[in-house]
Amino acid sequence: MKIDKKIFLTLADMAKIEVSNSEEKQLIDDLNTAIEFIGTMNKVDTENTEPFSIMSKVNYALREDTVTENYEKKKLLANAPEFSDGFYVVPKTIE
Amino acid sequence: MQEITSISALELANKIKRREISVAEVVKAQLEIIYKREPIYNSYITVMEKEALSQALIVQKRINDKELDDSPLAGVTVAVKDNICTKDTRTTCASKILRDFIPSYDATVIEKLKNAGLIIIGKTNLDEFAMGDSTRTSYFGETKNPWNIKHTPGGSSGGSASAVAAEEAHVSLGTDTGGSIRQPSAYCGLVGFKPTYGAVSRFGLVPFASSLDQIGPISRNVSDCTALLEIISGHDPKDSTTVGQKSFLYRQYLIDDIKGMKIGVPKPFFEENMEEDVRKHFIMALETFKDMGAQVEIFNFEEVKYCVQVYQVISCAEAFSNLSRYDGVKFGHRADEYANLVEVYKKSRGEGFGYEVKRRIMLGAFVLSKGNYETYYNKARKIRRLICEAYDKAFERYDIILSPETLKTAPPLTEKKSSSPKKSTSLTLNSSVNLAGLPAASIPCGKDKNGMPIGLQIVGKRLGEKDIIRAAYAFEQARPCLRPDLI
Repeated sequence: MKIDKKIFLTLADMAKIEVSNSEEKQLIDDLNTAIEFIGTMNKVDTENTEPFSIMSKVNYALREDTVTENYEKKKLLANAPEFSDGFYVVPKTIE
Repeated sequence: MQEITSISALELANKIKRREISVAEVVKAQLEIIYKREPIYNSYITVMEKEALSQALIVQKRINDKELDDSPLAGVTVAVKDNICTKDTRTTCASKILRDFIPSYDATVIEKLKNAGLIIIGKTNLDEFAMGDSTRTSYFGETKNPWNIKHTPGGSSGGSASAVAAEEAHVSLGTDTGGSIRQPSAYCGLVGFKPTYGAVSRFGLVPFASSLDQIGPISRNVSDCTALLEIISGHDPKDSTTVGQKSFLYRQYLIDDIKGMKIGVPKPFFEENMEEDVRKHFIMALETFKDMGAQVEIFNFEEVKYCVQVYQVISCAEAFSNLSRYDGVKFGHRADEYANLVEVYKKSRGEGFGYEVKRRIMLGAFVLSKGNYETYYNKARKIRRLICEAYDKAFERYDIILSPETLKTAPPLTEKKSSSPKKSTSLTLNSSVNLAGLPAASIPCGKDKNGMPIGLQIVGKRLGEKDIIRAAYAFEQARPCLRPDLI
């Protein structure tokens, strides 16, 4: 599969990234190189193999899901580009 | 003054314990060296002068009160890669998008360093979001290799490696997703250790690829590295992927005896197109291990042939998901101009991320999208299982597996930046280890004709850190680490 401008714009939309004109051509070229490269995996026979999910041999230790931290709201909000009255501010989403 | 910063971390901690030197003197000496050398090397994004000086007094009191008698590195300075959260100190991931981000909590490893009385002296430079192998994708400029400033220190933990090599810190923490601790350690003549997946907590590490990322130590010798690894390891209730064991005692394995140790050398790694000097020193290293009484055997390991492709797919897929949190709303960069919420996301991310990060996120979007998921993402996960099984099988026969850490020594900074995985010098050797969740270290094993250091990779079985430590320590006794001529 080859990435053309249309597929590229769909990917950029999925990734929520606005790409400048100067980056677009290079990105399409680099993505196509990468896709050609990862496509070579198809040579491997994986007929009877289940996909890997977690490090199954590790003895994981779970804990109760209890609240242990009390983060200071003010400090958390201080990292936001825009906030007001204790809330994050975003452009209007409902007309 | 310079002696304070050039002696080993363990030696320095002993001097502090014996009251030959105070923690404040150590910190001041370290800061002096940092300010002298930073204009040359650019190891740090943030130097934590004020915090380090105030911590010095607190740690000194704890030492005087005998609270830290059991801590091997109390009072020693440590540099931390800038993708590990430090409370009230900015954590940028070397990205424009996080250039002003100030975490409200410490990563678990930071808590552990503080509890053990180490002094965090600064946050080090890296490739943006740890995506790269040269530290050149950083928003904060490139870092220089202290062995030769015309060369890269490697990456992505390039700042953590150059800081330790340039004696701007005694030890440091890096992170390793596909070789990002080991490769810069090799390029800078250091010892770098990527622990078993789950041996060290990732809580507070800004994630790149969660099933591959691990935090680990970088140092100028094996003993310092082992001491730091011991401090940061162990179960963390805040990271459910950590192993159940509360702590690990690694220093008891600093033994100069590897008689009878079984060493495997994967044939595909041996056949890689490596530089002549790298090959020569690797063969010499194998001879050294044989002379010390180990059994060395070359074995077939075809299953790793596609590990770079698998790594690319899995790491980019996980990055696509992990980096979706940067939306210009809760924290990080927000674009100045936008018409609606979607534009806030798109423009902020478009302006905030560098080229390589965008490329990887988009490749992640591609392999996860409908129609491609089975062909690429699930295919990669299946091959990952085959790689894990191949390692399991190999470790039924061997205690450790050896390879060169990289195929080449540190390239010049003038070499063209490349996004092509095929051109990467170390991914083949490194990434299969992350895919299988295994521990691995890089230790110095010589220099090339231009005087640049060469690294040797030692891979262990899952939670087999002790075998790596034994082999690395014994090798170091036979072939001590070398130091660069510093400016």
